[in-house]
Amino acid sequence: MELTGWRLLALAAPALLGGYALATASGIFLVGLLPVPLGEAVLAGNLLGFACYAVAVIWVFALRRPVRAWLQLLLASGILAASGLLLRGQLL
Amino acid sequence: MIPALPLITLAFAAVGCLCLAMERHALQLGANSRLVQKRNWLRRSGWLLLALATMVSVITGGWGFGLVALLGSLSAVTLAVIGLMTYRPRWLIYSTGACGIAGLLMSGPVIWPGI
Amino acid sequence: MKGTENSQVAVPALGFRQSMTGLHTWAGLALGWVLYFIFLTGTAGYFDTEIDRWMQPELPAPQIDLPAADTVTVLLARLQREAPAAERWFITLPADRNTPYPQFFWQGASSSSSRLTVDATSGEAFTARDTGGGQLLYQMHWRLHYLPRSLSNPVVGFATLFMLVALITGVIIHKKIFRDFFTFRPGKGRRAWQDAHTALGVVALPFHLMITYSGLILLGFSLMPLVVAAYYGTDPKGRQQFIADAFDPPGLLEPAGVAAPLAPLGPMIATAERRWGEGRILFIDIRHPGDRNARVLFHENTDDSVSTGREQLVFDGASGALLHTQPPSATATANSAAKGARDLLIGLHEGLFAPPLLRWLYFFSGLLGSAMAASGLVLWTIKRRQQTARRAGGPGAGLLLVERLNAGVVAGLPIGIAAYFWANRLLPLDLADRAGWEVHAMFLAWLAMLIHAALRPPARSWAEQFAIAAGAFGLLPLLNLFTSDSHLGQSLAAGDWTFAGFDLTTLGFGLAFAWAARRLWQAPETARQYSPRTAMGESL
Repeated sequence: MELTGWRLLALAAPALLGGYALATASGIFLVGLLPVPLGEAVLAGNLLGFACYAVAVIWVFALRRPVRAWLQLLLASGILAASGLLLRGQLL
Repeated sequence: MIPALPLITLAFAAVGCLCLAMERHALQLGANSRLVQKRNWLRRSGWLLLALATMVSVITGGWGFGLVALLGSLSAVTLAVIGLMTYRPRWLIYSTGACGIAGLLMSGPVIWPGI
Repeated sequence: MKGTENSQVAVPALGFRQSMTGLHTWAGLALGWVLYFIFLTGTAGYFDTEIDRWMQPELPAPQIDLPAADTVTVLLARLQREAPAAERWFITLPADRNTPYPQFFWQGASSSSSRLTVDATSGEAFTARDTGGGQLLYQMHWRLHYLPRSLSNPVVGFATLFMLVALITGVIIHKKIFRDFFTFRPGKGRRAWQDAHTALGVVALPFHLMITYSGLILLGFSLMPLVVAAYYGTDPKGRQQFIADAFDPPGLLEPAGVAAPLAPLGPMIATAERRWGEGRILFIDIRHPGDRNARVLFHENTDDSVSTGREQLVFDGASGALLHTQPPSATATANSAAKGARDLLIGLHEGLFAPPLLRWLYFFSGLLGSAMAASGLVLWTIKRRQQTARRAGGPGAGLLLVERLNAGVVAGLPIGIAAYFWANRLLPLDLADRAGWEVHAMFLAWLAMLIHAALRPPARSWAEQFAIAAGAFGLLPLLNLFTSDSHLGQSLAAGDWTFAGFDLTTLGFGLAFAWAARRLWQAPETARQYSPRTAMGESL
């Protein structure tokens, strides 16, 4: 089974778009988590978000199941972003 | 100011020793070569020289500059060692020895000023 | 939903390592040429001010030894004359190799100036040829020159992300990273390229990881704006608030709207130089000059630390009193861990601190990165050739395209860079948009090489383009001899290592390209008929 054509695209989409969502969401979560002034926390969130992006891309390709990857990444992103905003009191 | 010559020679000698200490590369120089028996000694010398190169770099440059210089010179000398191992393995032995001696002599005054 | 999952389960499962190999291949191939461009132009950028100097040989010697107070007086007079109502005056002092001459810019409510380089003694621009210099070459590696920032940022950002993924997967799939550490098996086509690609990645792995991750950080806010927006909102005001929260030193105020003359800077300069040493003020940033709430920020030169975060002093612009020092203690390099980490990564990426030895090591590591990207691209074509040789049917369109692009990019881009230097010396001095045409020359030469590579068989085009590159770089010192007074005979005698270093380096590149061209030329079968296995592998 070669990793080409549609199979590649089907994985690239969740890796790039889902990974982007996860990176942003984990950045937002980190801001909520860190007990430091807001500007500093946002800086830290931005700093570490890219590591999550790379991990997400690798995760999707290790999983090799586009639909499941989409679901997992979007679900995780939603939970992370929401809890980050909740922790900083932005949703209430 | 990090002294270039002691750092580069020590780094080269260290990486050269570690390379020659590997069975595959020692055998490349002939199965009965004395290198094969001296592999443990070479490995220990390699790590020792690496520690010395780190000391020279960090003592003269501080942790920031020192580690950057160390990693940069290790990249450069490793490439040189790979090249010599591939095309001129005999020269690698001689240059590792020469660099080791030169590096040790030059690093003395850096590590113990006043000698 | 369930059906999809089932149908995928039915496909024979692949190992983790194979998945990672596939990811490594595609992440590298997709934007490999962009990565090569980024690496190569960025590498040239480690000698940006040296290239600047070579490209404007008319300029006087660097003015780093002039007293700061005199330079500031000259520049302030010009700012007062030119932009008395500006909200911000910014003066960069000539402190070290990074800034040989003073620079300034101002920002007003509705207009602002660009960053101008001027003569420290007169405050006027130098009369020198119009050029983008080394700065333009270095900025290319993230602005891609012709593209607007809205496009270049995501392209470079994704290329960098792919690079990070390729590095991590590369380490994962490298089966014997320690056992094969020193292994290079030449002359056997694919395996030699595989060894070379791995060695280039492994020996400079710390550099590659650092430069990639810090590259992402440098584009961070543009690539991931939502982290900021989630807490500060999406309007420009919120963004400004974030910048102020994260980066500004304390004590800055909105303008009061009450006029008050700017206090003399002389005593402030004296205070700063007492703390940091003479000539170690990097820039002076004056907010709301002429207002009662004016603030004058002094920033210490970063040449003695890897991190770009150094001490800042905040003076009251009306009274001249020292209000704050940031960071509050002299030992800390930043006032927050996050900013400290960011400053360190950016400092490592830019290497502005690097004295000559370190600068060369940076340059060399950058070349290794470029070669790693290039060898990966070539390796892909060699593997593909082997696969198609086993199967029926000729090579696919994708393979032919990649083979031709490889020659045109890997060998063609350096020729473009050389053309940039040639244009700098050969274009008429009074040509309109001369600086622009220097860059056009670079990209036109590159385009010509791409066309050349598209028309010739790859084995041929590599050799021919290396030969052209040999001439283009090797003859640059000769060009310099005829077009400036700073040729090798003069620069070596005077010990001017900026000019001599440039000429000798290009000469070195010329010789290296000549060697490569000769090696490729001497493979006789490959010259007559393109044979994939021998094309590059056997002859190098």
